Order: sequence, then structure tokens, then C-alpha cells
Amino acid sequence: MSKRTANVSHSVKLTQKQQLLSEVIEQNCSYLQQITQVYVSRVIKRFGNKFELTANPHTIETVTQEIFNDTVETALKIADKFDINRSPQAWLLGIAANKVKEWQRDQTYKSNKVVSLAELPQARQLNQQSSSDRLSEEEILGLLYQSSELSTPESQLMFEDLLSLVNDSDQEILKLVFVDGKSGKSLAASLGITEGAANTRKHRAIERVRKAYFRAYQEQKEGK
Amino acid sequence: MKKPKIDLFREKAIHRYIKALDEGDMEGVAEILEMCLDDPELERIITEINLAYHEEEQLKPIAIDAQLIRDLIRQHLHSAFTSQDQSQSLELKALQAEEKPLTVGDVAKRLKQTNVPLEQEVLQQLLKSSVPLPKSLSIQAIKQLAAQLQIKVSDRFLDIFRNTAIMLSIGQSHTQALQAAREQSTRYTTSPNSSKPVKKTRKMENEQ
Repeated sequence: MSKRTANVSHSVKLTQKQQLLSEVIEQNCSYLQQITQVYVSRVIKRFGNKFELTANPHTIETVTQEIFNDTVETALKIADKFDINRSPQAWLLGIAANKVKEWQRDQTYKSNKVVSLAELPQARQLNQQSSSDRLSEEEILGLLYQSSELSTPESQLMFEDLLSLVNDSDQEILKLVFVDGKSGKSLAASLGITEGAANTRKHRAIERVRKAYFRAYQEQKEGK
Repeated sequence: MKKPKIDLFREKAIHRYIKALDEGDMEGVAEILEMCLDDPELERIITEINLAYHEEEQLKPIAIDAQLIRDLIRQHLHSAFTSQDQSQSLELKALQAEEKPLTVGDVAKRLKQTNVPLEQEVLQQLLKSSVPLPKSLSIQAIKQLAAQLQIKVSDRFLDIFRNTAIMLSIGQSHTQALQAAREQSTRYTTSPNSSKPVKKTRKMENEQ
């Protein structure tokens, strides 16, 4: 294939991809904006105090519209990087998430609350410490699934121990998942909530088990 | 009760996504969205979770103005075309122009416009001709063309006809490319064709 034909072929593909993405944006703009709004809201709620922003609806809406606009522009400019065999929605949301991250970094920089060079070793040490303080998601999921699946008295005891680390509400959902084998729609039906809300509750409960388990492990290690 | 088989890899991804959202960790969110690109089931679950978060956060839906969105797309499509990709678009148009050969009528039209004193009756006759010019524009080829068209003209006519044909051939790509550029620059601000659905064709899929 000559260089010129290759360029023309590239141009055709780029145009097709841009049109395909435009269609997806038009058809799903409500959903895409809503989720961008969620990302903005989460970041402002979590880090807003660092750049003196409060999570009021007006701020969230203004930032969301700015980021959504930026996301559309970027998506169409880099459309050649989009693989049409993959999900356009997930691709667009990925760009939105990265835009929110960039916005967060800019806000932090503007408010002069960036970690100074002098503080870097301490900051790194702090980060290392916090990452070593973690029991991985894989480990806790493996532990919960294994202990609930094995029918030996030891594994049952292990599972009960894990459940005892969290409150009744979390225990209820964890029993539905790991004892009754419910997931997705069946879990949502049992709880009388949407599938998304059920998955959120389930994984927050697992996360609380993970943290509590590691805390208990640390205390035991320190001889408390 | 038999428990359904659990996809631990997917479960871990869901867990990490929810954790990343709770912690406002957009890098973590983007990582899982990357995994969704090739996993429709994971994407479906993440979509449900996203909607649950929107409800949980009690966010007021942003009013959507469909026309504003269309304008936004056109504006960005336009800027995308007029920047780095314009040259490629021009090449595409130029190549298409090459595929449409010049005709005897095109040359006659140009000769008519230049007001060169030539056999006007013959020129008038050639204006309507859609016979394509030969690939080679040698003197011999032009003479053969004249014979094919059954016209009797002077050698001077044939020389001027040939020179004009050569000039038109050289200029064709350039002229059409400029026209394409003009069309391109107005296309996305005047035409509502962005609302026309684009179907994913087998050809597009094969090109990947």
C-alpha cells in the first residue's frame, strides 16, 4: 500500500470513527453527563477541601459541563485511537475520568497545596506505608469465597469470624452473597433495591471486612 | 443450593471500581473502564453501579439541550477536521477526483472560456461530449481522439486542445482539493447530517 493510499485509508477510518462517536455521544449524552457528574461529585466531596470547593449542586454542574465539553472535544480529536470493536461508552467515560483527574490536579496546583520537593521523601514514605497496610482485594475476595465454599468446620468458623468483624447490615448482605450464592439481579431482588445499588452495598461490605480483618491482624501482631 | 460460578477477576474489578469511586480515585476508575472496553458484562454491571451512584449522590440531572449537544459535536468535528486531519481529507478528495477522468467536454469548456480563436462550430459540438480523455495525452493520442470523435480540425486546434487538456489534468487534483477544503470547512456548520445514523459495517470491522 502506498503512503498516499495509506493516508487516505486513515482519513476514511478517522471520519467514520468520528461519526460513530458523535452518534454515541448524541444518543447517550444524558447518561454520559450524569456519570461525569458522579465523578466530579466524588472528587469534590473527597478532595474539595484541598482546593477550597464545596460540593454544592451549582459547582458540580458547572464543572461537569466544562469537563463534558472537554471530553467530547478530546474524543473527536483522538478518534483514530478508538477501536470500533470495543465499547464506545466505556471509552468516552474513560476520557471523562481522566479529564476529572486532570481538573483535580489543576485545582490542587492552583491552590498551592502541591507536595513540595522537600516534603517528597516523607510523602513517599507515607504512601508506601499506606499501601503496605493493605490486604489486597483479591486476597479478601479469595478468603471470603473459599471459607464460604468449604464445608469443613474450620472454614465455617473462619467465615463466621470474618462476618463478626462487620455490622448486621453488612452480615446480611454477605450471607446472601456467600452462603446463598446470590449475585446481580437475584441479590437485588432479595434486598429490594436495584442491581447497581446491590453491587455497591455488597462491595462496600467486603471492603469493610477487608479493613477490619487487617486491623484485627495488626492488633494481634502487636500483641494488643 | 448450588452456587453460581464466580468470576473472581470480574468481582475484583467491580470491587476496585466501587472503592475508587468512594475514594474519588479517578485513575482507578479509568483503569476499570479500560477493562470494560472488552468485557460487555462488566460494562453492564458498571453502568448499573454508575446509575446507583447518581441516585445515591442525589445529583440533580443536568438539563440536556439536544441542539446544544449537536452544536458541540459539530464545533469539535469542525475543529478536528480543520487542524491536523485537513491535509488527509484533501488527499482523499484529490484521489476521488483522480478516479473521475476529465472529458473532452471539460477541455472544450475551458477553451470556450479562454476565447482563443478556434473553430467555433467544432468547439460547440465538443462542449456536450462526455468522452473521457485518453490516459496518454501524446500528439498521436489526441489525433486518434479526434478521429474517434469524427471531427476535422487544424493541427493548431489539436495542439491547443492538447495543451489545455494537459493543464487541466495537472490542475484537476489541486482545484478539487481546494473545493473539497471549502466544502469541508462549511460541512459541519451547515449540514445536519451528523444526525444520520452510522452503521458499523463489516468492512469497517475488517479494517481494524
